[in-house]
Amino acid sequence: MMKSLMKTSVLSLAFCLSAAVFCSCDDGGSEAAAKKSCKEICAEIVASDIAFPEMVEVNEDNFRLRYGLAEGDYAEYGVYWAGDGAMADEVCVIKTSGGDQLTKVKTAVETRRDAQANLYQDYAPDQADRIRASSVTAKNNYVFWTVSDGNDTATAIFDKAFE
Amino acid sequence: MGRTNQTPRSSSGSRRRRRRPRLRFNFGTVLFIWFISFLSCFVLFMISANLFGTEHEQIPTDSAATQSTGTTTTSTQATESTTTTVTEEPETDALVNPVPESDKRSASYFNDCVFIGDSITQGLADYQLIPVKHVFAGIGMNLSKVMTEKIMTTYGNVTAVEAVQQAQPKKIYIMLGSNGIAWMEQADMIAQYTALLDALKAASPDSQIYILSIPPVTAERETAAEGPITNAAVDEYNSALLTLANAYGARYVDSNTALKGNDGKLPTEQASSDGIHFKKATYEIFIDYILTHTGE
Repeated sequence: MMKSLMKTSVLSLAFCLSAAVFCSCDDGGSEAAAKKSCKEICAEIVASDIAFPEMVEVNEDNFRLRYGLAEGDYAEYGVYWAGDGAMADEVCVIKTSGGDQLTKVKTAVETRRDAQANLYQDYAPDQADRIRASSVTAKNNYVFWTVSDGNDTATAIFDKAFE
Repeated sequence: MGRTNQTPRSSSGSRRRRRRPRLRFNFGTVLFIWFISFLSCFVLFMISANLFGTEHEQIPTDSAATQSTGTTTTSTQATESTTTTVTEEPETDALVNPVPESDKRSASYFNDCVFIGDSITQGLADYQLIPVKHVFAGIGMNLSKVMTEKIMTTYGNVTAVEAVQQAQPKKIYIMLGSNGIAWMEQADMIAQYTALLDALKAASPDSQIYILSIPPVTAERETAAEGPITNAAVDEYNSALLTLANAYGARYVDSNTALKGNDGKLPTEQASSDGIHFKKATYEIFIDYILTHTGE
């Protein structure tokens, strides 16, 4: 009887441990995560030597509306933009779970970039040029985009977050 | 003849049969194992969800939390959860234009307002001073395309009038004219403004319409090489808007006067680099003026 109970307990423990390992698997895939949050990376870029106009940390309602994303489309986000409408400066870092989600988010950011360029084309062509000179990049399940007078510096700060 | 090759039986006579161990499936045990496994998985899931699921800000839908680099201004925030300071709908004064000063309303005043306009109006949402669901504005918007150009709103990609039709707000604030003042004939502007008012009235008949005066520009903008705008021209258009408001039964809010300095121009330090758009502190002056000139 005791032996039987012991066998049962051992089997149960083995099953639970297997289940625990399975459940705790990181669904972010095997890509290395940044050592800082998306918001922290954006804040560091905005606080750097790059000359930005008055920037605003974007709340989630605004972010979802302007980027055309909904809950579940991304894992984490960080966005700053110029609040006054005269300048097109923007910093965007979005973390995804990879795969299709990464593709969807990258497409959404590219759509945002192109839409902004079109809006500014007649209104402020110099800003449209700045937007078109920017690029949307993907790294380790993250999507990164910035419109600024120091895109290279911003990219270096973003890359450094993974070291 | 004896059986010599057979295994001798026990002398006790009792048969001891060796039974091969049989594996028995005890249903209760299986059920116990399943239950423990399920419970473990559920607990782990809840722990991981609580630890990693809410890293980013969770801002209520109608709160306007703002942060801007290098500034520590406190901004007017509009939240639907804010308890209003009046317990009944205040009486609306008889139509007096420009709307005179009154007791300052709380930020909850904006809960049933919408703002229609161009990039200056969009700044209310971009600076997160007014919830984005209440702002129907777009970069480059002007009176010649406000009826046809679709803008990104929480009601979808629709025109401002279509958004108003869905929102059915109690109050509609309109600030248009900065884009066009340099190239649009005044008569055309008034005609297009009237068409917009007609469409808004049809879309939301019970809404009170407020026409906001066109804001001032900086001295630098008056003499800009490209697209100069003079404050004299702005004042002239605003006079026409006042006349329109009186004729239409709309309210006219002269926010222009709150924003200009003693020299009749937008102070340079309150404007962005193009001399037209506002810095965040300027928007706060603008919002404060609206809240103290509601006509209620």
